[in-house]
Amino acid sequence: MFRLLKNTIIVLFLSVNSLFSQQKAELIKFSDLENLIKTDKNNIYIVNFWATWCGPCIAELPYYQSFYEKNTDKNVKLILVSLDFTNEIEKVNKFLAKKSLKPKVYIMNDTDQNEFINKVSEKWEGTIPATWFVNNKNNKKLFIEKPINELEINKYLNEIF
Amino acid sequence: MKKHSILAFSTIVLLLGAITLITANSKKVYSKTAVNQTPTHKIGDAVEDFNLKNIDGGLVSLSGINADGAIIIFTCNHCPYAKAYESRVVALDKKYKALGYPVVAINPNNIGSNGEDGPDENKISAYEKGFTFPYLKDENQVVTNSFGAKRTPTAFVVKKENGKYILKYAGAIDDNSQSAESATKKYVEMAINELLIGKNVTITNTKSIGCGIMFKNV
Repeated sequence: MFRLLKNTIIVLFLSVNSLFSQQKAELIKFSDLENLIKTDKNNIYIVNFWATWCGPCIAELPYYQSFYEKNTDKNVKLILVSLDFTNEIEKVNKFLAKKSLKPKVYIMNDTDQNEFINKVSEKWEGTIPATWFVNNKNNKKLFIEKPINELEINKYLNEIF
Repeated sequence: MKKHSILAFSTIVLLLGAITLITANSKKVYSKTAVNQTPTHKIGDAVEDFNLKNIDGGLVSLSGINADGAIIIFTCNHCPYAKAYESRVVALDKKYKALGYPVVAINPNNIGSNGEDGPDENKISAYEKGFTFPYLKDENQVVTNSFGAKRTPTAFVVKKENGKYILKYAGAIDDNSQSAESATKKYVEMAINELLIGKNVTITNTKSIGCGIMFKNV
């Protein structure tokens, strides 16, 4: 009886655990992403724009994963926004499972790139990877249009504190 | 006295010479820096003619096309955003070649960094997608740099004025990469339609997501 209970707990634990690691990407409109960031006055946001087809973006993801693991308890929210086409959601989900990516992943569900690119930053030309640092408490923002490593993520984060 | 004035005169000549040399040198340094910073064609600028190798082995130049203008599209074979536009680029050529604005496609990627962008792959893409226009390879990436292209796909519309090709539009082909049917603002078409009736282009620059061009490590 005790053994059965123990096994059940283990099975439950494993399935819950795999549920968490098998994160599914969600579609998001740019306006919703903007609202999500703007309305949250307690956290600093780091938004990384990437795609499964972008080699330099994939090379950068381990730095974000590592940063995420070290900063989960801090007031810093990390969001990965994929620019894969919305009909590639299954491909993105497979990729997330394969890489066991933990930070929240969205797929941009907005087609007017000329509009959302400029809303993120006038400086953004359209290349990815690109990363947006937003601090709502002091209105400081930073936009970086190049691959960065974990040291640089921390460096840019410090710049908006 | 005479000796003195000769001396003064020579000094002035020498000084002037030195100043000219210094100015020339600093100019040289300046232009070198400018080159390194990648000069980008701006709207209204004349773009330089180019002579690049086509998939059939022949060379294609802007002046050799001998049309009223051209739609120059930097594209490649591996990028989902570029691939999503292939049939739309074919449609653009079909529609606008007869009106004096044929498509010229250029693959800017450094072959060394991606196996899908070599000359054979260009031929396969052109054949499979039924390209009706030249598909050129910018081997040393000089043309890519002079246009300031950073991503594929990127479109540039040029119009011939007094024998020069003037840049009229730079940016996205339209406002929906994923679906041709859902595109509402067809920027390249809008630009050419205005040029065809002698108007100035209203939207001259747009931004879009694309695959970063793979540059050679300098």
